[in-house]
Amino acid sequence: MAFNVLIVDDSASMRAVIKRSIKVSGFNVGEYWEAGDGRQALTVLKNQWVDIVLTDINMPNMNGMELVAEMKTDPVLGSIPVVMVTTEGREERVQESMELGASGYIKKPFLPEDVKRTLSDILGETEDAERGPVDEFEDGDF
Amino acid sequence: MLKEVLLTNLKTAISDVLETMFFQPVQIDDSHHDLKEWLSEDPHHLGARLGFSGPITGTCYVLVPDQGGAEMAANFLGIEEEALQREQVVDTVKEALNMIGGRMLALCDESGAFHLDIPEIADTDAVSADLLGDAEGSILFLETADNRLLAGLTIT
Repeated sequence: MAFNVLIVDDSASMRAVIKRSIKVSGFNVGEYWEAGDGRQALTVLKNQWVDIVLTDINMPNMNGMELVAEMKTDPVLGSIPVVMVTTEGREERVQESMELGASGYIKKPFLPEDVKRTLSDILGETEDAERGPVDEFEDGDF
Repeated sequence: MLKEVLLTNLKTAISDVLETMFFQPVQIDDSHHDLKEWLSEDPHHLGARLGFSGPITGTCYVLVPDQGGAEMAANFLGIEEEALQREQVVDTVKEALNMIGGRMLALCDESGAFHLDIPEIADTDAVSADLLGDAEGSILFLETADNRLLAGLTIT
């Protein structure tokens, strides 16, 4: 089964790095969608089928916490797992996001293995993910 | 909390971030002690600032020579330097500071005491003025295998 992924971060560079980390993790991804803040993410979510959201917390306009809270008010969007990918190392903030309904979190800086582990916990292992450590890169990957 | 603690955590944060996401082992450059002298060695630099508040309020900074910024972006994004656009380099330097600042504050206090602003680009003159004009300003001169960078911290 192919998963559609939405990556939300105000840094286009970080979105690219997260996307590459997912690619090298071996998950079968159908479509990648991107958004620069929570508001843009909601627009994408209302127009595209998304299976999992990876979002930064600290963003302008609508931050990641507000995005999760808004998604949880909608029965369809509220069922989509959300992973917080954030510089916020603060346990209180992480706990708060989990209480809001986030399914997991990844702290920046991160390794591709961190992304793989978190997505495996949420989406389940893939054939590729079962190979072990992330060590098979394509040209241009890392 | 003492400024020395923040500085120690800033060093650790820089190492963690540059080694993990930019593949650049970093060490303190003891040969420099003066900001103006350091700046004079390259014609153009790229700078960013990131404000934070909490038990201590302040700003952290990075300055990198243009070439160093391009190398960081190439490593981060996994593409050749020649293929980079200026916007990608600027965005990468801001994101590097965002991760460094977040890591530094997490090392100081994981209980949720600090708030991070959004990182913004800052020109060299502005960064210099902030760092040299603030009595609490502290500067770390750093070097990687092929490049160098500067990290600064002011407390208000």
